[in-house]
Amino acid sequence: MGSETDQPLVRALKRGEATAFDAIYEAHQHSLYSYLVRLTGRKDLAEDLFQETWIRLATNAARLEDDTHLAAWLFTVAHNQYRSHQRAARVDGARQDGAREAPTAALPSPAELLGLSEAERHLEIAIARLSPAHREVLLLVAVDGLAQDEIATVLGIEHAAVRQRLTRARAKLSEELDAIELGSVKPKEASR
Amino acid sequence: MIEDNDPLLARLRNLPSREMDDNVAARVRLKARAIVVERSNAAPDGFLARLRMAYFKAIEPALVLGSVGLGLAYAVAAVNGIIH
Repeated sequence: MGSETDQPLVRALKRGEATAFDAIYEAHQHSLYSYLVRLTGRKDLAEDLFQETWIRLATNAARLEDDTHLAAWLFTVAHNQYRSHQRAARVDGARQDGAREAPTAALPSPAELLGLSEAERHLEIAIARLSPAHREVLLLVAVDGLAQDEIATVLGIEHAAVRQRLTRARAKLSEELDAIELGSVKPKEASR
Repeated sequence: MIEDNDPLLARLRNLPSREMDDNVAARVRLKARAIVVERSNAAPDGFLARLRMAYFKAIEPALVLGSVGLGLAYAVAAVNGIIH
């Protein structure tokens, strides 16, 4: 959805119409949750960040500009929440002198895996093995309707930097996929 | 743009969504929607908000200035013996 098509929904949301909120939630909940769970690698954390993002939208609804692009707005908030969490986790980790184990990137549940093709399973594993910086840019490019300048806004970097990061991330993803498909990555180490 | 016709990125775009627990999704929706409705009910409606803004921006300053002006005029008149 572009900012022009979002306008009626944004106006209705600003008026406090619950149906507008429902429509926005319906349109973006799956892509936002998928982004967060793949980015964080943890379902519990993804759910917390997901909830916080929607609460932010609700509390800031009246102050939205009419031409707000909702997908870009939601992903920017979600991404900033993730960054805040990372900073807090680093401070917490430092206090505990590295005693805490780093979270492993969560793969789909066995039930979800059953519904995936082999190629899709490999792709999920490859994404989980990327660095957070590479993972986030690829996941954002995969979001329907997010333009590169909006991705730059979400990540807080220049447009040229997005392109550069995307090129590197894509190459790394391809490398990981090759390794998985050649069998050099065992299922046990897939979620590291 | 490289991502427009890149088969790998196309695969990424077509990857099925990760499913969220239905109860969590419903709870988040209800909670956020309640905030939207509650905030909208608490906010003054458009006409009242405009009236309130007009009062504070124009009517109240005019009343204050008018009172001060009248007071000064009365004082000047009293000093000059126009009124007793």
